[in-house]
Amino acid sequence: MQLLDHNAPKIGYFCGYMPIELILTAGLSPSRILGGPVKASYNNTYLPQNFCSFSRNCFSLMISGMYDFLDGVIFTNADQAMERLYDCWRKKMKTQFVYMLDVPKNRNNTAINYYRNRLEVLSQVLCRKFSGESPDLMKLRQCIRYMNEVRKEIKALYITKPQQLSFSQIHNTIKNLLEGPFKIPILNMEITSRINCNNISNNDKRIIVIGSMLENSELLQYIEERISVVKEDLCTGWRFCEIEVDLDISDPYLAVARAYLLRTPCPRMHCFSERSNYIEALIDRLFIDGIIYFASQFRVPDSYEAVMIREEICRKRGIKFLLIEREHGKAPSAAELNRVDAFLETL
Amino acid sequence: MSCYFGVDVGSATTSAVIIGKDGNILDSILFDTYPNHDITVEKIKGFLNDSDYKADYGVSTGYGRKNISIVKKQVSEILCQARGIYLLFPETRVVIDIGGQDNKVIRIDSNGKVLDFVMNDKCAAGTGRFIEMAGRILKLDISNFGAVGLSSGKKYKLNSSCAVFAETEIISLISKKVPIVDIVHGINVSLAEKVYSLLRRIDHKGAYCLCGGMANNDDFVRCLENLIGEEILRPKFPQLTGALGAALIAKSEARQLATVRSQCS
Repeated sequence: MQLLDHNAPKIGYFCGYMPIELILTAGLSPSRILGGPVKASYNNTYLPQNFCSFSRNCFSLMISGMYDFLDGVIFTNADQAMERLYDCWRKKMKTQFVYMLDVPKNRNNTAINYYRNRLEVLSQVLCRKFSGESPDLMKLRQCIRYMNEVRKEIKALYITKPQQLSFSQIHNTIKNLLEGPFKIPILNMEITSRINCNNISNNDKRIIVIGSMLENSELLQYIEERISVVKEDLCTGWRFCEIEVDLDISDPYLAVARAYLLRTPCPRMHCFSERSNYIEALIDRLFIDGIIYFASQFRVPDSYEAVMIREEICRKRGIKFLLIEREHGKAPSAAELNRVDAFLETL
Repeated sequence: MSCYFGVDVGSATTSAVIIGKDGNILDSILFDTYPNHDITVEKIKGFLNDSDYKADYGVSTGYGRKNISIVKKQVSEILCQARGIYLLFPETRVVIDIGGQDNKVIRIDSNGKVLDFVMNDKCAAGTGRFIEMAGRILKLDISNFGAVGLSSGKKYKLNSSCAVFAETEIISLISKKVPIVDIVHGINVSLAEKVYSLLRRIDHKGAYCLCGGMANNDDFVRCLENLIGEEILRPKFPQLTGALGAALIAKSEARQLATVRSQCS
């Protein structure tokens, strides 16, 4: 099946709640914006210093022209910082299509139906803008099936993770897939063969790594070389392949809305009890000694969740917890690595 | 005689300690860290070679620990400070380490095991570098900050502990002809408050012990004691405790290794 033209217009998006299926249906190439190293920072002129580090990083890259290749950008209302970045993008960039997708922050039926309608509107806007046609529901189903397959294959890597395969390698593969250019098809064997083995620690202590997006896998690799990471729960990792859209639901928009909204909630959602149940279940199942939480500095949803996990779960259960507040786009600093070393020694 | 050594390569100073079987310090060295770590390593090698006590098993710690090739293991300064302080003051439950580029508060249990730690490693506020910067502006050796601050009769403090803003504030105080003793005391108060804010982030119950060069600053220690409401323990050589902890770890590692070897042979 030919899903994408080689020269398909490229659409950037920021959030794991933005369904890639809709972008593919419109014949567009999705590219997740994850930030990265910046040569010059223009942040302080426009955004305050104590502003979400991820948004500041993306803003700097945007101003320096790193995202000029994009034909469109889709934002979601993950937090207020993202909404301000949307304002800046509209004001400063000449991207022909800039859109804000309103993703509900709870998961009841009303929210699902609302989200379904927002997705239908987005799909129509995208198709009309770039092809002048209405969305093809048959193609949407094809794209759903395709993305289900891609996620299933990566999920299989996680589940049947061979001894020599590290989470940082799987994470890197997902990150490359998300950032694009979007390659089709991706086969399990192909992914595995592209991943070179690196050191995985034989340390008998067990930890899990939680957090939002990581723009590089360096820190995760550093940790894995020192201790046994038994679970990775990152937005750009496991949480990506957790989604499975139910093809038996006759309305594909509703199916997509349900799958994206009903998966394990991320810190942006207002459902900490469900999130904490999920993390507690992981702790019970995996017999872990500690949790390392990656948060982008000043990113509000991450900061809140990190404190809640530390206070409500780790302190009560006597599990060690380390919060690494990273400045997004920067390589791990000596201080961060030192903190990781010290934490692992205390386990 | 079996001897072990520990090296603490900090951002400001480097120290090395040789200990004997019983953990007593036999020999030590303390010097400013060189910008080139190769020179630092050479100096440590020279110290180990020249010492009357021959130690062949060592552990390094501090920010430059990974550059020290002559050791068998590298350990973070959190663990080393905890070990070193616990040997000297077993009643300690909270270790406060004020380093050249960061501050650490380490909570330990009755066995000296690290329970928790917090660090201020994002900026120079409240660190040794902050004092160095202030000393440069005031043309005052940092070893005099304690005595000078204690002679101030005023309850004065800087409004900012940020190294950049504090520098501006100190310059403005000098131009207002505020006596240097009061400025120095203000700096010490401001530093103590910064460290206290870090202390409040951790469950702090039990005896406190301060290590790092700031432990020699009596005025700062008094300010911090006033905030905590308790006396703070201070080692005789507060800049050697990290290296001491590293040497203690070297000792236990070497013994473990010897046990394994004897079991295998």
